[in-house]
Amino acid sequence: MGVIEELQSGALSAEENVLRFLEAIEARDGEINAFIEVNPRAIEEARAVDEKIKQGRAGKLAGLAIAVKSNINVRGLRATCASKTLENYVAPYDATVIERIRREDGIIIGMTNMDEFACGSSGETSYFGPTQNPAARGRIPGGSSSGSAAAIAANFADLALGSDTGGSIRNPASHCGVVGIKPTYGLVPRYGLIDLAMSLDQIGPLARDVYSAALLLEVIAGYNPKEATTLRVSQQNYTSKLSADLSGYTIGFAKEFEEYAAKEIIREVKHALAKLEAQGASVVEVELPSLDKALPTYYLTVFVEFFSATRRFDGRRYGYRIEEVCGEEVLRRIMLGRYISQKEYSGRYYRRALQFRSLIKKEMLEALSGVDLIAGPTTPKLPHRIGESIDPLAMYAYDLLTVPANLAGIPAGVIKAGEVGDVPVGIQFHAKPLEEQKILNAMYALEGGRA
Amino acid sequence: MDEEKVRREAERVLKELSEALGEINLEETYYVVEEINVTRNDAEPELNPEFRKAALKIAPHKDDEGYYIAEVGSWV
Repeated sequence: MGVIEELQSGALSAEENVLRFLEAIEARDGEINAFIEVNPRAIEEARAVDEKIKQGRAGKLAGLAIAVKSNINVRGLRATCASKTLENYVAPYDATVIERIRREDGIIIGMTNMDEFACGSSGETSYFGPTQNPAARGRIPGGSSSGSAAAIAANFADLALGSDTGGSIRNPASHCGVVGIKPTYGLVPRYGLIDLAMSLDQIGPLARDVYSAALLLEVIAGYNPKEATTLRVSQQNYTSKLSADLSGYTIGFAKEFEEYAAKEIIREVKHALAKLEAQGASVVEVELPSLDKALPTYYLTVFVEFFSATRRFDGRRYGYRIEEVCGEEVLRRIMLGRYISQKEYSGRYYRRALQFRSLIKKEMLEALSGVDLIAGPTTPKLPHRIGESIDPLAMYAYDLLTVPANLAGIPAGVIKAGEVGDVPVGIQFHAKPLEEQKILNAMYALEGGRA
Repeated sequence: MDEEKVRREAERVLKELSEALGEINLEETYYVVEEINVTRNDAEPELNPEFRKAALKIAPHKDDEGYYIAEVGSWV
């Protein structure tokens, strides 16, 4: 019996569920460093949910413990963005996703570690120290939602929220061997998310299995009048439509993936695709000719939007002035964003990046037009060892295969495909806008195939 | 932190990313959402010719050409 059924049947109380996670965090998070802050009211909140369960009026997430990335506002807890800049900033309100989780009786267990202001792909740039990969000790967990992925992999929470600007949910999901979903841009409200790059950011779930990821996604998805970029979509119900039957599904695999990802990663991805073929899907080749332009397009866009987003951290309203206390990667991005913004009258960088973004979006949608999904590797290489010296451009290269989904605004999901040595490797699925269900079904089929 | 090193790396990052991007000749640019203006339809602004007259009528100081004369702030 899974934890959701145990909670619903009363075999496990919300308080017991939360308590066991708090004990695990207390005992083992000293080594992992997945959390920046644990919710001191978690037990009290769990007791209130137990009352609702007894009265038969509890919501879909009743009693589930949910870890939240530290760039999402949770009233009364610190939203530090893993930076000294905001080290003492206590959120005065709940983000829309948190309101929706609370409405369904989920319990926020704590705020997770991350790359500082989500600027990183390794989980090493946090002011609060690097996070360990529970699935491959000594290696990075990936980032920037490092603590959220690690919390799931280490069994410190049932579910977690991350944010994904260029792969920040999918990259750590792949490295830690968990499920992660980057929704269609606009499906999940960003109200209450401290932005890295507003035209790319999306909040999404991380989980140990596809069903729970689908459950959290259906709770947080949907239109929000507070935010102009949310899409006017009806209430989603992914869990009731989950199906491992892939008959009729066509899955594309781009030959360009083989140029950029390590051979052993491609081998695991193809192995997973063979399992899906055995479950009814057919695999065909697709083309993504501008894949090599995705990374420069992404970073030239991010530098400018991040620079703009950080101008509020001037030391007057929120803690410290960012340039005075931030780490190297954040400072580098601010310098680059400032320079590009000053030079932008010539349209030399940002405008050109926007033009390439149009091209990449067009190519992704064209490639998807003849298939249900595009599947491929998540990262081009295996996670490096914590503390290893990595050149900034080599670090950015981790994002090569995840940024196209953000640039195109389409959904993408990651699930473990296999292992290389003892290191998990994730397969990534892309779909057309708002076709998250197909991604979930493919991952569900793969999960069933592995069980 | 060695800020000079960060600056040098930033210059190299920009040069390499810009070169990798190359040139493009495409009219389109990407917008966050297709609905460029979600609050109202684009339209010509409406002008009320009576507004200026009504506003000047209650202005404490005005000149012959129909402009307000603002007071100099007391803190200047």
